[in-house]
Amino acid sequence: MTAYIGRRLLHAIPLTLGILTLVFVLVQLAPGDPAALYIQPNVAPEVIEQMRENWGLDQPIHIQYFQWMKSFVTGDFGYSLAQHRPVTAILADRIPNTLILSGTALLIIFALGIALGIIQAVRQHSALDNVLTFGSLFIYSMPSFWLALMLILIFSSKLHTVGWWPDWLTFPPSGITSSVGYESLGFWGKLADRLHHLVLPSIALGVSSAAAVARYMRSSMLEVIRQDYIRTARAKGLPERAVILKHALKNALLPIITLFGLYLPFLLSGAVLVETVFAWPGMGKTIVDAIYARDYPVVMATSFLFAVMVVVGNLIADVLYAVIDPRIRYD
Amino acid sequence: MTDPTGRRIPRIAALLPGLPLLLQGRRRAGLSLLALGVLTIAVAVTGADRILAAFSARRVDSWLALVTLLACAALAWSVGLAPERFHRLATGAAASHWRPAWREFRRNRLAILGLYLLALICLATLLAPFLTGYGPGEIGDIQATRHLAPSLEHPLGTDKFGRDVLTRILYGARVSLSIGFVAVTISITLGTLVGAVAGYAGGAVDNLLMRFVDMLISFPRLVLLITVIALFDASLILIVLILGLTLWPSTARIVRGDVLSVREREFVEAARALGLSAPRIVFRHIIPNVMGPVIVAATLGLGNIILIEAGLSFLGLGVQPPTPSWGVIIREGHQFLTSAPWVTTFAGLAIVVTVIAFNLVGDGLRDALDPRLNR
Repeated sequence: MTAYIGRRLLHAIPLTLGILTLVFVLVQLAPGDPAALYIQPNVAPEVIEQMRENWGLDQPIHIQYFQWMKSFVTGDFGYSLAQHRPVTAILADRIPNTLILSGTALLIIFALGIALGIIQAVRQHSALDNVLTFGSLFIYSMPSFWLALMLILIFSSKLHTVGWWPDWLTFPPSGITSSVGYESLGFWGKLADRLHHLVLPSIALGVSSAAAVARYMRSSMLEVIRQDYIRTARAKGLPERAVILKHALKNALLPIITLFGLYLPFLLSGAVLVETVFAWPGMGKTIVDAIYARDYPVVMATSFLFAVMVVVGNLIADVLYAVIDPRIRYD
Repeated sequence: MTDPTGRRIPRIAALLPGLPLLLQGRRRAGLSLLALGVLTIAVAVTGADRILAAFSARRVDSWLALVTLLACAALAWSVGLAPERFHRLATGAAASHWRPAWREFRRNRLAILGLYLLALICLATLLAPFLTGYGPGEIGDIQATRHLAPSLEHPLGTDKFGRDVLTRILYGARVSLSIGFVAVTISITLGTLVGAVAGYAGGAVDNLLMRFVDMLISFPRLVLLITVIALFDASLILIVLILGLTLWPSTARIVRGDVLSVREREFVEAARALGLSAPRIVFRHIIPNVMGPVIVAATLGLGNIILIEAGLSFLGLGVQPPTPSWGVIIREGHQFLTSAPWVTTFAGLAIVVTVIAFNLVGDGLRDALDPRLNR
């Protein structure tokens, strides 16, 4: 199994380099070069020429390619045109925020999805099952940014006009902390404030994939319940609870692990939109802002890092699967 | 024409579309036709002046709507006169190998519901000029009609420029759906070709193509799209092209997997023994046999692409205002989320209903076409 994990790791390296090459090719194919952005009547052509030289844009393309690869691999993502500081510094600020948001969303996706899937499988064909099946179809078909807007509409602007609606159930519509008074809060106060800001974005980001996971979990559970060893467990008199949660659940969860790798790109795509709606200062908002500002170094670096996150996520899913399911042979 | 007890059904019953079918005891078919007929009459009556105006307007969309309306009427009444024709249509006069799948599909109530929803959405989209009295960009009196709440005059309210939201959503459907159809056609064609070539050729070709697919799939779709669109300063046509060109890898993966198993079947071996060329085997023998999953992928992909287009337009990187697409309407409405929530809410609901319809039909098709699920 160690060999298998090692091989997956080795597979990820050329993949990452390939992604990097793809980003490079895209930049090369695009009309104009970064220096062209500075062409203005009041900037002398010599200055532009000097910029090209400084950025290495006058070099032959293969030299540029190797320069580009070298700097990205060593973690030098260039200099932001709009914010006038290194891209690495910007991203270092933003990545943790995205990880917190997607992490919480992942928690919702799998906790909610698995729980609902089990309930539906155990009560197959009941009214509850049907309602949940249709409900998940509805939620699954929703655009995440629209759900985000609806959540804001309901939970931050409409419900608190109802007199008896408790204050702690009115959620802030934007940001990761309150803009006023955050600094004066104690540790627990700060934590509570952050969590309070996290609720709506993570729900908006998580529930649609949770609905999909619930669907897979339901069918996976139903398949497992039909097997002989479950009948044996029931026959020896185990309570139904133990049969489902101890015996069936373990095997039913196996295919769900692969969903982690599968849904990660969806989750991150959603993060771009949800972060924009909630003004959540993560990678998604960074890339959108950078596009508005035509800040290409930031766009390139962020999209590359998004792809790397997916590669790493897939790697984790593969390794998890190998660790958890001993039946699979790797040779 | 006789009813279940053997009595003759008078020909006059055909005046009401679907009535003969209902008398024959075929409830679903009869009610569908009846609904179609009633809908056609309703549109013709309430939109009479708009239909007359369409003759003089000489605009493509008015003519399209006119043709659609006539086609609806023709379908409703001609089938009403000759139900056997409808019967043949409904039981699948198509190629015989699709018939079991169609029978399976018809048993799936949710899938049929999805199909009806889709038909309704397409009709509403095509008939848009007759369904509303406003133009898609028609700006009302800014003072008097800005942000009006839903009422009889404006069933879904008006937006910040006093435009009728229902009209914008109906016309937005044209934009969103056409983008979806074109982009899916591109991505499915490309994905099928690449997948089939990779799966059939195997070896280095397969390896190379699939590594490329791995690379593209590693990008979250929206991230790849906005990066490309930003770099190329894309126009609408280019955006549709880019959508199609970035979404094919998942189809390629599915097709390749299926081709790998089809390739080993006897009929392919026979074709090879006959000395047929590789392109001929791929196009005539392999691809037709993997069409099932491709059709499913296309249907589910349509729902997906509508979501993606909405997201892009919402970010301001897709369709540009004043052209209405659902994403654009939501983008324009979200600045006034609290004061005029109807703009955002209804445009979003339009997306949800459409995507649900595509997902229902897609799931139904999968159950009907997937040989692995056949019991």
